[in-house]
Amino acid sequence: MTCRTLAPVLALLCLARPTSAQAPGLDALQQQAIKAAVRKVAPSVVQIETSGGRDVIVSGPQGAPVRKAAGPTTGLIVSADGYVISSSYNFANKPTSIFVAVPGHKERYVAKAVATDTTRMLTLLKIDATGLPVPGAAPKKDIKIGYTAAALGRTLDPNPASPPSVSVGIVSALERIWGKALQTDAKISPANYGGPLVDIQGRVLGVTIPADPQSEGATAGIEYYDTGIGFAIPLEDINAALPRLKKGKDLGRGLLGITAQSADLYGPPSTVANVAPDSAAAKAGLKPGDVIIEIDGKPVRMHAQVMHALGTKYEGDKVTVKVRRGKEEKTFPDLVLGGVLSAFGQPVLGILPLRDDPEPGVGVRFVYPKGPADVAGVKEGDRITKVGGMTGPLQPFSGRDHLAGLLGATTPGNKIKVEVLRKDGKKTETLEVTLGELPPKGSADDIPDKLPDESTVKKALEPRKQPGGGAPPPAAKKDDKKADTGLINRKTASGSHAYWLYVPRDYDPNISYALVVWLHPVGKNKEKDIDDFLDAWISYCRENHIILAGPLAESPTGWVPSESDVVVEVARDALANYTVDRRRVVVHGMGVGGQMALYVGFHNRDVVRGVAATGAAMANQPKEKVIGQPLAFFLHAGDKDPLAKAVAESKDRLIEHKYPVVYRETPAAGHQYLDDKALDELVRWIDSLDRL
Amino acid sequence: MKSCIAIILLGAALAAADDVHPDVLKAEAQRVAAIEKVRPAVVAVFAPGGQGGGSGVLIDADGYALTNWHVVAGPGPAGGRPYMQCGLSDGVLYDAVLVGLDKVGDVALVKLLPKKDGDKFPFAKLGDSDKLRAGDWSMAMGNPFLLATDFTPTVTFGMVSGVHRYQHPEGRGLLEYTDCIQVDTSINPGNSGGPLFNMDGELVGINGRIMFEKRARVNVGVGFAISINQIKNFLGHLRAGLDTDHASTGFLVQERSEEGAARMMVTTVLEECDARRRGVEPGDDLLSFAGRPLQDNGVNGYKNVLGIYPRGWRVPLVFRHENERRETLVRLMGVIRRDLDEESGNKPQPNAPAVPQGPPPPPAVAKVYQAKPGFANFYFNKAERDRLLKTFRSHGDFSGRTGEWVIAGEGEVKGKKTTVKFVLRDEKGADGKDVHTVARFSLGGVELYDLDPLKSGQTTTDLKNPPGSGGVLAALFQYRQLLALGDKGFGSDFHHGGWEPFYTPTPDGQKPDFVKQRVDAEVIATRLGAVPAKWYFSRADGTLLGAEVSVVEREDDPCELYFSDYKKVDGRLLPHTIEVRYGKERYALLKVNTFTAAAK
Amino acid sequence: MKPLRYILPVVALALAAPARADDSFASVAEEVNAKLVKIFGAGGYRGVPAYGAGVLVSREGHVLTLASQMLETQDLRVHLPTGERYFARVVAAEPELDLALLQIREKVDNLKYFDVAAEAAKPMADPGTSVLAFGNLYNIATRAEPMSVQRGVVAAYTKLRGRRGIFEAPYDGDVYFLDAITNNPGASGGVITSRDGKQLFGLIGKELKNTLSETWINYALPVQAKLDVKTEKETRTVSVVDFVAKGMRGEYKTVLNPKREKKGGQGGYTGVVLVPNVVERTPPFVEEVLPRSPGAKAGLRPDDLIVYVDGQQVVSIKDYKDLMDRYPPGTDLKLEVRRGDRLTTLSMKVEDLPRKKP
Repeated sequence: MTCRTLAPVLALLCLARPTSAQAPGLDALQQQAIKAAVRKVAPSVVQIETSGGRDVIVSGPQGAPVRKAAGPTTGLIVSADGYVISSSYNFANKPTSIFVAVPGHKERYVAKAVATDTTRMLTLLKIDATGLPVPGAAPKKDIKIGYTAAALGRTLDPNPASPPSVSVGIVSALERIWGKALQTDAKISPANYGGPLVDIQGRVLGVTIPADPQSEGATAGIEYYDTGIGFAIPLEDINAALPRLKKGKDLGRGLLGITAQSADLYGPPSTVANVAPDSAAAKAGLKPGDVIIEIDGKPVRMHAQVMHALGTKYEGDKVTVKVRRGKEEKTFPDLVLGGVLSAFGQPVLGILPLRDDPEPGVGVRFVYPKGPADVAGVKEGDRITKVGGMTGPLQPFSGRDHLAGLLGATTPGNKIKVEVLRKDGKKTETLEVTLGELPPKGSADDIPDKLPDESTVKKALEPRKQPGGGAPPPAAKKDDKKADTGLINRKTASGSHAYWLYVPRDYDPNISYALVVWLHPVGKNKEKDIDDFLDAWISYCRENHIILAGPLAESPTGWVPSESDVVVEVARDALANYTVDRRRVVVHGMGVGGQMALYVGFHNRDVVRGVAATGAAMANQPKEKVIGQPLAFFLHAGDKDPLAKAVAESKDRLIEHKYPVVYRETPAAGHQYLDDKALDELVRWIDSLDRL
Repeated sequence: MKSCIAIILLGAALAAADDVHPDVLKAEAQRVAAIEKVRPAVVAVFAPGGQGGGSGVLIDADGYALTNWHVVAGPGPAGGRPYMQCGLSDGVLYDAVLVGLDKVGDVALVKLLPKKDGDKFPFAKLGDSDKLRAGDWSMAMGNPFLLATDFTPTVTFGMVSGVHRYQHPEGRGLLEYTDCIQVDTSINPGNSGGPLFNMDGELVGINGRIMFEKRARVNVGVGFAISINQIKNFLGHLRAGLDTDHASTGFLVQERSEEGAARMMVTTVLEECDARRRGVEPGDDLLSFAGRPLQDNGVNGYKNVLGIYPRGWRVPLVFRHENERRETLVRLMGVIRRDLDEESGNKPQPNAPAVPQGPPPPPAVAKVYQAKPGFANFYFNKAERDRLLKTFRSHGDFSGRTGEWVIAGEGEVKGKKTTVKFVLRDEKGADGKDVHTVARFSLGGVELYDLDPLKSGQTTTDLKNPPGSGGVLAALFQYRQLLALGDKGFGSDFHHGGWEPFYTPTPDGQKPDFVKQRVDAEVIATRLGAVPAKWYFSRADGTLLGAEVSVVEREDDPCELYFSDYKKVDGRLLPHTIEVRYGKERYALLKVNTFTAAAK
Repeated sequence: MKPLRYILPVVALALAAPARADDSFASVAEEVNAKLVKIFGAGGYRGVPAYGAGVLVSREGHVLTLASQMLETQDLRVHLPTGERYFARVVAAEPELDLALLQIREKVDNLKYFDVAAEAAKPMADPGTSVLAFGNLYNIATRAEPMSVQRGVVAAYTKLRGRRGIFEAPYDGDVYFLDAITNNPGASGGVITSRDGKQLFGLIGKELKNTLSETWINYALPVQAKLDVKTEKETRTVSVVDFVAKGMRGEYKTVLNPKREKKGGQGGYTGVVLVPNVVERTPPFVEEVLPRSPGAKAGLRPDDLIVYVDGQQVVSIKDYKDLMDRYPPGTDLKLEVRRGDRLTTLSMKVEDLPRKKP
């Protein structure tokens, strides 16, 4: 390629030609500077090739599965003795071997994956080489928005000796992705993920990765490739984490172990809603109701700022938190942040409550056989009136949701006492219950074969009585006018999306209904498709008190993450106009719709309690559980569905993260909707979502 | 650890090595500075509750900010959320209220409410988007994919790919991008409503639309921004809380498709449009519109220049009628059909969910929001209206002067020299009982016509007396109502009509030069009985320049009044030259020597 | 609108103060646009748009553009930068380069144009070279409306490995890869030029996906492009320059056999048995090597992982087999295999399949 040597000459020509009024002298100089910067870093930019591994990484909510291409990827040398950093995306398909070509080295090297930084989605490789050229890092404090930024890659040209590929842009923002990444409008894509982003002086700003603040995992943000929305982890930060990575231990996110009261990250101050048992917060003694006002000496006004302050931290990092509790301010210095793995099971009694019951306490609708309550001798028809720890007094509670809250504050395996009023003979007994865990240790969850039809007291609109006869709060206000029933077609407020609601003709506002939001597969948004769906569901809707809602995707290519707002708007519409049981709001989808259901579920825990997906697998690692906002899963696939394997894997990953999961396979079926048996089970699963 | 040290040393070494040309570093520093200067004015817009959202940009220190309609579109009476939250790059979240809407142009004006009264906001300077050329550099800022979890905008840098671009409306005639700017600067979902800056940091456009047929909802190198010059035409309407409409001419145009250059030919002309009365006929060729030539760019070029004007404006039109070149002013009609208007929100949408309305607005917002059909926020219309009337009255307050009015002098009527006298006073009716205001008109000392403007059952001929004047008696009666009674002098409708150009009459025997004759004006729009009127006030000093009183609405030309030569009459300024025009003709030119406006 | 004097660095230093960041390319864009046309033809076929771009290559209205179904119509129209529109016809096409040459039917003269031969004689661009790209993106421009101009840099200059859907791109020589999103509907046939607009680097190609990265690619065919085409009978060399020159003289022979000789054939005998191909992308591990087979002679051993064959990576058993089919008996191959943590290089000669003994 003789042309390379000619480039400077070309530039000079531009400079020398005074004739054209616009001859971009400055641009030619910029061009020279960029080429010089690239030459400076090029020797440290390596080409990575892999062998084996999966073809398709399970799809993202964007729709089409992410194909992990067979082509080479890019990495950056970070220490002379053979360490190479790269984007975890490049290994997301779990290749069996990794090879690294270093410019100027005749032989390729076999590489070992040393460790992965799961917070920044970077993987450290080691090759058996020494004396490698290490690029200089641009000091973070010097990096300014508007700086020229060039992204380098080694994928387009198979020859590692050729100059790397270049895309030129600017630094668009700092401290993105909760404080972890630089943002650039240079074109970032699989063509250069894992390569360096360099400034005009040839200093490395960072290493490029796909990313998205709203989701996690190696493929998060892949849909933004080449859009001018790109991210890079500052090399300075990588260098700081290098010693830990070299030890071979994956680096995980540091967690405080709290959830915020409001789903609104920006409006209200950050108020603790729940504290995870044996989390950093729990150990330090943070309490629900605490308002976080300062982290590491930096004042915070909203929860988003808390997430920013914690976003950059690793498991084991220390953080100082200052809260307002009532009138006083308390400081908790040097909390040691926990890791993702401290996922916790949900403590359960193993009963289903009778619904829509204004009386204090909880009527027992169903007792799970061999469950804690069963073992302790709780019987169907009994009424649980009080609960309490082994020491301390029994306390009355107002009903199902109150009891759920009390249980949430304990941990599985704890012994508690419950006072029951027996169905027969009206006598009360105090029983000792050892709380079970949901999901049951490491295994999938199950569904009772049969549930009592009797599920509600039909007094949803009556004011709930307080234990000890406190002033009853006003009843859930619903205007008296008869609500619409049957199939109702609507448009979202902005008019952007159409959706439909199905409400059983015999709708009774005194019964709380389950809500199932159906996210149709690609293209299945015609009237006929809706009818087909209703045919399958309509009788269940009547018999099991279910309201259906069906937003329609805007794009023919399927659902996009931004439409998650639409789905929630539709759900809120139903919630506001009908008596809906907030503990049984389910997002249900198939194929891309199923992807979307999983996405919506994880990103709207304040609304969604269950996700039922068929023929769809999870795009990324599951997000951690949120206490007080339980989320259960019903996964289904035909055993001939090419995705079945991935779906099964999703199940396992969810169980690892201690989510209750039901998994069903339809034998001799491909990518198709649930068979009658599975559908029957799905309905029972929905009916038992308010398990205690 | 050792390796780290090594790296840093090596890094330093490299940085020092073969250094970059100073001009390049200077250029980079200037870009950084330009960005730093305007970043604080960029707004991250959220629906209440922190969901969804887009971008915006502050355009003055009081907190007025521009964004897209489709960003604030929601369950509001006018099809826009009355209330939203706006984050600035200082990390602070502000409450904001909807002020004005332009649904066709996809623009909304909102106002951020300061945390403390009198607090000032950073803002961007408006540039001149017509100076922009394809090949210029540009910067876009905003909140793509809601990445700005700390409210600091994403800055993207790129090239202007084209100017004066046309992009079709998205159904229902709304969201039409006319005369817009095309950029390869990266714009993505969430950038909507955010600013496009030139390299001097001037606001030249509002980013609103991208091509995403190819890859669902992400940038593919083609983005569009609404030109700031179009928005300037609507700014007065928006500030006045109006739910504005764009313009149509009332005639259809077709691009002649034989080989060679394009010809823009008029095909059909509507019955009731101003253009027909100005002489536009099927078969005529359009030459230029609002000063822009039309041949080269075909239909797009025509739609572009038409699309940047609000309904009701008058613009110069040049056309060829049987080889005769004609130049005239044409009054523009609207584009939003009634039914559509209702559909899109002036009446609550029938099939829209009653909820979610989002949380109720905080008191501070509720205080500055008032719903009313035809308005995005009537509170701001009242504010603008009252401000304008206040300045107007500072030149002479006639409130309550409902006694006899006499306007007399000599001049020309229908080309003949004569003396003229108008008298307006309350008189007993024939029965000697109920009192109404009567307008009397004498020529050369002889009273020829009188009018009892509010009497019912009069023919249009009566109302349009004297003949050829288009109804000057009715017009002057309304003039007295305006000065003496203000809003009380009219029915329910007395609102600020935004900004419009006003054209002083073409002097005798001169070719029109509408650019020279144009005066920037603010409008008060009124309706008295069946008679709508527009009152034009100078934007410079608030003096009344003239009026259009439509005695016969739509089917006929209004009576045009032109006031000039203001002189003090016992301390109050009154016009001493009054010109009356109707259609193409001048009816009268009056030099006033007596002007009395007595109190009761 | 940066005054000329800033161009010479020396002076620029002198008047440090008002120098403005980043040149405008407005007048460059105008200059180049004056040599480009919009093309409107037949559309719909396999999602091919009914509009495109082309570059004037003669004062008499010869237009160079990409070959496409869009051109297959009697109603082929060309909009000149001045706003006139004329009918045009295809005078020559070259499937191997994926190019077509049109001429305006009307008699026109002294149009602004690029002299392809002269442009091809200039030095090529290389990675990092900044360019301007022009195309009729999304049919935004008609009549005299200028085409969209985009800025970018040459990301790489290398072989095109692209496909549209399942179809391999017809041209597989070296191309310029661009970091701008240029290859959109209507862009193909547009041009990339130097930032001063004085040099025509190449023609923007079609909408293709990169088979190696599974991403949309943006590329342009260099005006210097040259290709040796082997057919059963002969080997002929095609080049852009030759195509345009002969095409304008009406002498270009369009050989319409895009059916190229299938690379490789049955392959030969190696005696290497790989592990069963169970999953997608099973890596090519050696299960056993038949005695006295080429594999054995080469020194292959069970559990070796074959990684490169003649320098080309094989990620899976399928890859390996497809590649080996191309090597007839007698071919000498360089194999790189992973043995433990080392890559070992072996050489193997493919042989004829051993005849079964009676």
